[in-house]
Amino acid sequence: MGIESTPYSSTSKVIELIQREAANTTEITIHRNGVIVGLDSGTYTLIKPDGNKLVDAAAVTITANVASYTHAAVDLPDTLNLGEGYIQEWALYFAAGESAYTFRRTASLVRRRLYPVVYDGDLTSVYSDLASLRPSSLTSYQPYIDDAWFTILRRLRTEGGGLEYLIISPESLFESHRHLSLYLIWRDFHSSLGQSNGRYMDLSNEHYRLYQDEWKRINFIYDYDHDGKADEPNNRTAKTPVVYLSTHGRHGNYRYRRSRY
Amino acid sequence: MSLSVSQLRAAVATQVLTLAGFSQSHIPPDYFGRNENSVAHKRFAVQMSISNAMLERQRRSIGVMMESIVRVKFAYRLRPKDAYPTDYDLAMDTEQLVINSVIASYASVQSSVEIRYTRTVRDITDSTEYMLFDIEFNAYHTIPT
Repeated sequence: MGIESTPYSSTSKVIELIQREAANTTEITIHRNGVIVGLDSGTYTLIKPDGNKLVDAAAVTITANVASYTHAAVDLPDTLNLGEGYIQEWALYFAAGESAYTFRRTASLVRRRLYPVVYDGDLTSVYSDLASLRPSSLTSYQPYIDDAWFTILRRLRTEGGGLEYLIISPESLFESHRHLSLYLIWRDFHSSLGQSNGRYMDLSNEHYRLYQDEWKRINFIYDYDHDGKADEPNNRTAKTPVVYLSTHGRHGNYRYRRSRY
Repeated sequence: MSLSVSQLRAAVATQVLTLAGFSQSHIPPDYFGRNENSVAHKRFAVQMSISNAMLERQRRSIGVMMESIVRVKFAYRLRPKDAYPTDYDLAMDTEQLVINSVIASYASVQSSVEIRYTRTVRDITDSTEYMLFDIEFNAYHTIPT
Protein backbone atom coordinates (compact mmCIF):
# COMPACT_ATOMS: atom_id res chain seq x y z
CA MET A 1 0.00 0.00 0.00
CA GLY A 2 1.45 3.40 -0.97
CA ILE A 3 1.64 6.70 0.83
CA GLU A 4 -1.63 8.55 1.11
CA SER A 5 -2.01 12.29 0.98
CA THR A 6 -3.74 12.42 4.35
CA PRO A 7 -2.20 15.39 6.19
CA TYR A 8 -1.14 13.76 9.42
CA SER A 9 0.10 16.20 12.05
CA SER A 10 3.36 15.62 13.86
CA THR A 11 4.25 17.29 17.13
CA SER A 12 6.59 20.07 16.20
CA LYS A 13 5.82 23.22 18.13
CA VAL A 14 9.37 24.57 18.06
CA ILE A 15 12.73 23.62 16.64
CA GLU A 16 14.05 20.53 18.36
CA LEU A 17 17.07 21.24 20.50
CA ILE A 18 19.71 18.55 20.96
CA GLN A 19 22.27 19.22 23.62
CA ARG A 20 25.85 18.35 22.68
CA GLU A 21 27.81 15.95 24.91
CA ALA A 22 24.66 14.86 26.73
CA ALA A 23 22.15 12.06 26.43
CA ASN A 24 19.06 13.40 24.64
CA THR A 25 15.75 11.70 24.11
CA THR A 26 13.75 13.08 21.26
CA GLU A 27 10.23 11.93 20.51
CA ILE A 28 7.38 12.42 18.11
CA THR A 29 3.68 11.66 18.04
CA ILE A 30 1.42 11.70 15.03
CA HIS A 31 -2.12 13.04 15.31
CA ARG A 32 -5.21 12.80 13.18
CA ASN A 33 -8.85 13.48 14.05
CA GLY A 34 -7.95 14.43 17.59
CA VAL A 35 -6.25 11.18 18.49
CA ILE A 36 -2.73 9.82 18.39
CA VAL A 37 -2.15 7.68 15.35
CA GLY A 38 -1.09 4.12 16.13
CA LEU A 39 2.49 3.25 15.22
CA ASP A 40 3.86 -0.14 14.24
CA SER A 41 7.57 0.63 13.82
CA GLY A 42 9.93 3.27 12.50
CA THR A 43 13.42 4.58 12.04
CA TYR A 44 15.16 7.80 12.99
CA THR A 45 17.80 9.67 11.02
CA LEU A 46 19.67 12.81 12.03
CA ILE A 47 21.31 14.68 9.18
CA LYS A 48 24.09 17.17 9.83
CA PRO A 49 24.24 20.57 8.13
CA ASP A 50 26.86 19.21 5.70
CA GLY A 51 24.47 16.48 4.58
CA ASN A 52 26.20 13.59 6.33
CA LYS A 53 24.15 11.44 8.62
CA LEU A 54 24.91 11.47 12.30
CA VAL A 55 22.30 8.79 12.95
CA ASP A 56 21.28 6.66 10.03
CA ALA A 57 17.90 4.90 10.10
CA ALA A 58 18.17 3.73 13.69
CA ALA A 59 15.18 1.83 15.03
CA VAL A 60 12.89 3.93 17.21
CA THR A 61 11.30 2.90 20.49
CA ILE A 62 7.52 3.00 20.46
CA THR A 63 5.71 3.36 23.76
CA ALA A 64 1.98 4.05 23.77
CA ASN A 65 2.27 5.19 20.13
CA VAL A 66 4.97 7.73 20.97
CA ALA A 67 8.10 7.16 18.89
CA SER A 68 11.36 8.09 20.56
CA TYR A 69 15.07 7.86 20.02
CA THR A 70 17.80 8.44 22.59
CA HIS A 71 21.10 9.97 21.51
CA ALA A 72 23.91 8.76 23.72
CA ALA A 73 26.25 11.45 24.97
CA VAL A 74 29.18 9.83 23.17
CA ASP A 75 27.31 10.15 19.87
CA LEU A 76 27.19 13.93 20.30
CA PRO A 77 30.88 14.76 20.81
CA ASP A 78 32.26 18.25 21.13
CA THR A 79 33.73 17.98 17.64
CA LEU A 80 30.27 18.51 16.16
CA ASN A 81 29.42 22.00 15.01
CA LEU A 82 26.98 23.78 17.22
CA GLY A 83 24.05 25.61 15.72
CA GLU A 84 21.36 25.32 13.11
CA GLY A 85 20.83 23.12 10.12
CA TYR A 86 20.33 19.67 11.59
CA ILE A 87 17.40 17.70 10.23
CA GLN A 88 15.50 14.87 11.87
CA GLU A 89 13.76 12.36 9.66
CA TRP A 90 11.26 10.03 11.27
CA ALA A 91 10.19 7.21 8.95
CA LEU A 92 7.15 5.75 10.68
CA TYR A 93 5.02 2.77 9.78
CA PHE A 94 1.41 3.00 10.89
CA ALA A 95 0.80 -0.65 10.11
CA ALA A 96 2.97 -3.60 9.18
CA GLY A 97 3.44 -3.99 5.46
CA GLU A 98 2.51 -0.40 4.63
CA SER A 99 4.87 2.25 3.33
CA ALA A 100 6.58 4.55 5.80
CA TYR A 101 5.45 8.13 6.32
CA THR A 102 8.51 10.32 6.70
CA PHE A 103 8.20 13.36 8.94
CA ARG A 104 10.98 15.94 8.90
CA ARG A 105 11.81 18.31 11.70
CA THR A 106 14.53 20.88 11.97
CA ALA A 107 16.89 20.61 14.90
CA SER A 108 19.70 22.57 16.46
CA LEU A 109 22.74 21.21 18.20
CA VAL A 110 23.21 23.37 21.26
CA ARG A 111 25.54 23.84 24.16
CA ARG A 112 22.65 24.57 26.55
CA ARG A 113 18.90 24.62 26.26
CA LEU A 114 16.89 27.63 27.31
CA TYR A 115 14.31 26.94 30.00
CA PRO A 116 11.44 29.23 31.00
CA VAL A 117 11.31 30.94 34.39
CA VAL A 118 7.56 31.52 34.78
CA TYR A 119 5.49 29.17 36.91
CA ASP A 120 2.00 29.18 38.45
CA GLY A 121 3.06 31.24 41.45
CA ASP A 122 4.14 34.08 39.18
CA LEU A 123 0.61 34.27 37.83
CA THR A 124 -1.18 34.08 41.17
CA SER A 125 1.14 36.73 42.56
CA VAL A 126 -0.52 39.11 40.12
CA TYR A 127 -4.07 37.80 40.56
CA SER A 128 -4.62 36.22 43.94
CA ASP A 129 -8.00 34.86 42.87
CA LEU A 130 -6.58 33.08 39.84
CA ALA A 131 -5.99 29.88 41.79
CA SER A 132 -9.67 29.64 42.70
CA LEU A 133 -10.70 30.31 39.10
CA ARG A 134 -8.70 27.39 37.76
CA PRO A 135 -10.84 24.96 35.76
CA SER A 136 -11.55 21.73 37.61
CA SER A 137 -9.99 19.81 34.73
CA LEU A 138 -6.57 21.36 35.48
CA THR A 139 -4.28 21.11 38.47
CA SER A 140 -2.19 24.08 37.34
CA TYR A 141 -1.98 26.70 34.62
CA GLN A 142 0.94 24.87 33.04
CA PRO A 143 -0.73 24.28 29.61
CA TYR A 144 -1.14 28.04 29.15
CA ILE A 145 2.40 28.71 30.39
CA ASP A 146 3.82 26.15 27.97
CA ASP A 147 1.81 27.45 25.04
CA ALA A 148 2.98 31.00 25.76
CA TRP A 149 6.57 29.78 25.97
CA PHE A 150 6.41 28.03 22.59
CA THR A 151 4.82 31.12 21.06
CA ILE A 152 7.67 33.28 22.37
CA LEU A 153 10.31 30.88 21.05
CA ARG A 154 8.72 30.84 17.61
CA ARG A 155 8.34 34.61 17.59
CA LEU A 156 11.96 35.11 18.58
CA ARG A 157 13.00 33.31 15.44
CA THR A 158 10.40 34.66 13.03
CA GLU A 159 11.17 38.25 14.01
CA GLY A 160 14.91 37.84 13.89
CA GLY A 161 15.20 38.16 17.63
CA GLY A 162 17.92 35.56 17.84
CA LEU A 163 18.36 31.94 18.72
CA GLU A 164 16.81 31.06 22.03
CA TYR A 165 19.58 28.69 23.07
CA LEU A 166 22.15 31.48 22.82
CA ILE A 167 20.30 33.58 25.36
CA ILE A 168 22.17 33.34 28.63
CA SER A 169 19.71 35.39 30.69
CA PRO A 170 16.38 33.52 30.73
CA GLU A 171 14.84 36.08 33.10
CA SER A 172 14.92 38.54 30.19
CA LEU A 173 11.84 36.83 28.83
CA PHE A 174 10.02 36.71 32.17
CA GLU A 175 7.64 39.65 31.76
CA SER A 176 6.64 38.88 28.20
CA HIS A 177 6.15 35.23 29.10
CA ARG A 178 4.00 36.10 32.09
CA HIS A 179 1.86 38.61 30.20
CA LEU A 180 1.33 36.21 27.32
CA SER A 181 0.37 33.41 29.73
CA LEU A 182 -2.16 35.66 31.44
CA TYR A 183 -3.49 36.78 28.09
CA LEU A 184 -4.10 33.17 27.06
CA ILE A 185 -5.78 32.35 30.37
CA TRP A 186 -8.14 35.32 30.45
CA ARG A 187 -8.97 34.96 26.78
CA ASP A 188 -9.83 31.31 27.29
CA PHE A 189 -12.00 32.20 30.28
CA HIS A 190 -13.75 34.85 28.25
CA SER A 191 -14.41 32.39 25.43
CA SER A 192 -16.49 30.30 27.84
CA LEU A 193 -18.84 33.06 28.87
CA GLY A 194 -20.81 33.67 25.70
CA GLN A 195 -20.69 37.45 25.74
CA SER A 196 -18.83 40.09 23.81
CA ASN A 197 -17.24 41.95 26.71
CA GLY A 198 -16.56 41.68 30.42
CA ARG A 199 -13.75 41.58 32.97
CA TYR A 200 -12.03 38.55 31.47
CA MET A 201 -12.02 40.15 28.04
CA ASP A 202 -10.69 43.42 29.49
CA LEU A 203 -7.91 41.58 31.30
CA SER A 204 -6.95 39.57 28.24
CA ASN A 205 -6.75 42.74 26.16
CA GLU A 206 -4.71 44.46 28.85
CA HIS A 207 -2.19 41.64 29.06
CA TYR A 208 -1.91 41.35 25.31
CA ARG A 209 -1.07 45.04 25.17
CA LEU A 210 1.45 44.68 27.99
CA TYR A 211 2.96 41.65 26.28
CA GLN A 212 3.40 43.61 23.07
CA ASP A 213 4.94 46.54 24.94
CA GLU A 214 7.26 44.24 26.83
CA TRP A 215 8.21 42.42 23.66
CA LYS A 216 9.54 45.63 22.13
CA ARG A 217 11.77 46.19 25.14
CA ILE A 218 13.30 42.74 25.51
CA ASN A 219 17.05 42.65 25.72
CA PHE A 220 19.26 39.89 26.94
CA ILE A 221 22.78 38.66 27.45
CA TYR A 222 23.76 36.67 24.43
CA ASP A 223 26.41 34.18 23.38
CA TYR A 224 27.06 34.97 19.73
CA ASP A 225 29.95 32.59 19.25
CA HIS A 226 28.47 29.55 20.99
CA ASP A 227 31.31 29.39 23.50
CA GLY A 228 29.01 29.22 26.52
CA LYS A 229 30.05 32.62 27.85
CA ALA A 230 28.36 35.98 27.75
CA ASP A 231 29.97 37.91 24.93
CA GLU A 232 29.24 41.30 26.43
CA PRO A 233 27.95 40.81 29.96
CA ASN A 234 27.70 44.55 30.56
CA ASN A 235 26.10 45.32 27.26
CA ARG A 236 22.74 43.70 26.76
CA THR A 237 21.55 42.84 23.29
CA ALA A 238 18.22 44.17 22.07
CA LYS A 239 15.92 41.53 20.69
CA THR A 240 15.08 43.49 17.58
CA PRO A 241 17.94 45.62 16.39
CA VAL A 242 17.12 48.81 14.57
CA VAL A 243 18.02 48.50 10.93
CA TYR A 244 18.67 51.75 9.08
CA LEU A 245 17.99 51.43 5.40
CA SER A 246 19.50 54.81 4.57
CA THR A 247 23.07 56.01 4.90
CA HIS A 248 24.22 58.09 7.84
CA GLY A 249 24.37 61.20 5.68
CA ARG A 250 27.24 63.43 4.74
CA HIS A 251 27.67 64.94 8.17
CA GLY A 252 26.80 61.87 10.18
CA ASN A 253 28.77 61.26 13.32
CA TYR A 254 31.42 58.66 12.75
CA ARG A 255 30.56 56.71 15.88
CA TYR A 256 27.14 55.91 14.49
CA ARG A 257 28.52 54.63 11.20
CA ARG A 258 29.78 51.44 12.62
CA SER A 259 27.38 48.58 12.44
CA ARG A 260 28.23 45.49 14.36
CA TYR A 261 25.39 43.13 13.78
CA MET B 1 -34.57 40.63 77.15
CA SER B 2 -34.41 42.89 74.11
CA LEU B 3 -32.37 43.03 70.94
CA SER B 4 -31.99 46.12 68.79
CA VAL B 5 -32.16 45.96 65.03
CA SER B 6 -28.43 46.60 64.74
CA GLN B 7 -27.67 43.90 67.30
CA LEU B 8 -29.80 41.49 65.35
CA ARG B 9 -27.94 42.35 62.14
CA ALA B 10 -24.63 41.80 63.87
CA ALA B 11 -25.82 38.51 65.35
CA VAL B 12 -26.87 37.22 61.93
CA ALA B 13 -23.56 38.36 60.42
CA THR B 14 -21.68 36.53 63.16
CA GLN B 15 -23.54 33.35 62.31
CA VAL B 16 -22.64 33.66 58.61
CA LEU B 17 -19.02 34.44 59.44
CA THR B 18 -18.67 30.99 61.01
CA LEU B 19 -18.82 29.54 57.49
CA ALA B 20 -15.53 28.91 55.75
CA GLY B 21 -14.42 31.57 53.31
CA PHE B 22 -17.16 34.08 54.10
CA SER B 23 -16.29 37.70 54.73
CA GLN B 24 -18.42 40.73 55.27
CA SER B 25 -18.85 43.28 52.53
CA HIS B 26 -17.66 46.82 53.13
CA ILE B 27 -20.37 48.07 50.85
CA PRO B 28 -23.93 48.49 52.23
CA PRO B 29 -26.29 45.67 51.29
CA ASP B 30 -28.42 47.94 49.11
CA TYR B 31 -25.39 48.31 46.82
CA PHE B 32 -24.03 44.83 47.27
CA GLY B 33 -23.39 44.45 43.54
CA ARG B 34 -20.67 47.07 43.71
CA ASN B 35 -18.24 44.74 45.48
CA GLU B 36 -15.00 44.36 43.60
CA ASN B 37 -15.01 41.28 41.43
CA SER B 38 -11.67 40.08 42.66
CA VAL B 39 -12.84 39.71 46.27
CA ALA B 40 -16.56 39.16 45.84
CA HIS B 41 -16.47 35.40 46.23
CA LYS B 42 -18.42 34.56 49.43
CA ARG B 43 -18.71 38.21 50.35
CA PHE B 44 -21.97 38.86 52.12
CA ALA B 45 -24.05 41.62 53.58
CA VAL B 46 -26.97 41.48 56.01
CA GLN B 47 -29.76 43.86 55.11
CA MET B 48 -32.36 44.82 57.67
CA SER B 49 -34.99 45.47 55.10
CA ILE B 50 -38.32 46.17 56.85
CA SER B 51 -39.51 46.00 60.43
CA ASN B 52 -43.19 45.75 61.32
CA ALA B 53 -44.67 46.04 64.78
CA MET B 54 -46.34 42.96 66.17
CA LEU B 55 -49.88 43.26 67.48
CA GLU B 56 -49.27 43.63 71.18
CA ARG B 57 -49.44 46.31 73.86
CA GLN B 58 -45.89 47.66 73.45
CA ARG B 59 -45.26 48.19 77.17
CA ARG B 60 -42.16 50.31 77.75
CA SER B 61 -40.94 47.97 80.43
CA ILE B 62 -40.75 45.14 77.91
CA GLY B 63 -39.90 46.90 74.64
CA VAL B 64 -41.42 46.82 71.18
CA MET B 65 -41.88 43.41 69.71
CA MET B 66 -41.45 43.38 65.97
CA GLU B 67 -41.05 41.29 62.92
CA SER B 68 -38.03 42.29 60.83
CA ILE B 69 -37.26 41.13 57.35
CA VAL B 70 -33.58 40.15 57.28
CA ARG B 71 -31.95 39.59 53.94
CA VAL B 72 -28.59 37.93 53.59
CA LYS B 73 -26.98 38.70 50.26
CA PHE B 74 -23.91 36.88 49.12
CA ALA B 75 -21.97 36.24 45.92
CA TYR B 76 -20.56 32.97 44.73
CA ARG B 77 -18.02 32.96 41.94
CA LEU B 78 -18.66 30.68 38.99
CA ARG B 79 -15.44 29.46 37.42
CA PRO B 80 -15.58 30.17 33.69
CA LYS B 81 -14.93 26.58 32.70
CA ASP B 82 -17.16 25.07 35.39
CA ALA B 83 -19.95 27.63 35.65
CA TYR B 84 -22.72 25.16 34.93
CA PRO B 85 -23.62 22.73 36.37
CA THR B 86 -20.63 22.13 38.70
CA ASP B 87 -20.33 25.56 40.31
CA TYR B 88 -24.04 26.29 39.93
CA ASP B 89 -24.74 23.33 42.20
CA LEU B 90 -21.90 24.18 44.56
CA ALA B 91 -23.30 27.67 44.91
CA MET B 92 -26.72 26.34 45.93
CA ASP B 93 -25.08 23.95 48.39
CA THR B 94 -23.41 27.00 49.91
CA GLU B 95 -26.76 28.78 50.05
CA GLN B 96 -28.06 25.88 52.11
CA LEU B 97 -25.16 26.28 54.53
CA VAL B 98 -26.00 29.96 54.93
CA ILE B 99 -29.66 29.22 55.63
CA ASN B 100 -28.79 26.58 58.22
CA SER B 101 -26.34 28.91 59.85
CA VAL B 102 -28.74 31.87 60.04
CA ILE B 103 -31.65 29.89 61.51
CA ALA B 104 -29.40 28.39 64.17
CA SER B 105 -29.89 29.23 67.83
CA TYR B 106 -29.43 32.81 69.04
CA ALA B 107 -29.70 31.85 72.70
CA SER B 108 -26.38 33.46 73.50
CA VAL B 109 -27.69 36.80 72.25
CA GLN B 110 -31.35 36.69 73.14
CA SER B 111 -33.37 33.67 74.07
CA SER B 112 -36.60 34.96 72.60
CA VAL B 113 -35.37 35.86 69.13
CA GLU B 114 -36.69 33.60 66.45
CA ILE B 115 -35.67 33.54 62.82
CA ARG B 116 -37.49 31.76 60.04
CA TYR B 117 -36.40 31.24 56.48
CA THR B 118 -38.77 32.73 53.91
CA ARG B 119 -37.33 32.54 50.40
CA THR B 120 -34.29 32.87 48.15
CA VAL B 121 -33.90 34.89 44.97
CA ARG B 122 -31.03 33.63 42.83
CA ASP B 123 -29.49 35.53 39.98
CA ILE B 124 -26.42 35.34 37.79
CA THR B 125 -24.58 38.48 36.71
CA ASP B 126 -24.47 39.35 33.02
CA SER B 127 -20.77 38.57 32.98
CA THR B 128 -21.53 35.04 34.27
CA GLU B 129 -18.82 35.61 36.84
CA TYR B 130 -21.00 35.46 39.92
CA MET B 131 -24.16 33.92 41.20
CA LEU B 132 -25.93 36.30 43.57
CA PHE B 133 -28.13 35.08 46.36
CA ASP B 134 -30.70 37.13 48.19
CA ILE B 135 -31.94 35.01 51.09
CA GLU B 136 -34.88 36.38 53.05
CA PHE B 137 -35.68 35.59 56.67
CA ASN B 138 -38.33 36.77 59.07
CA ALA B 139 -36.96 37.60 62.51
CA TYR B 140 -39.15 38.05 65.57
CA HIS B 141 -37.47 40.07 68.29
CA THR B 142 -38.03 42.84 70.83
CA ILE B 143 -36.18 46.12 70.68
CA PRO B 144 -35.44 47.99 73.92
CA THR B 145 -37.33 51.16 74.80
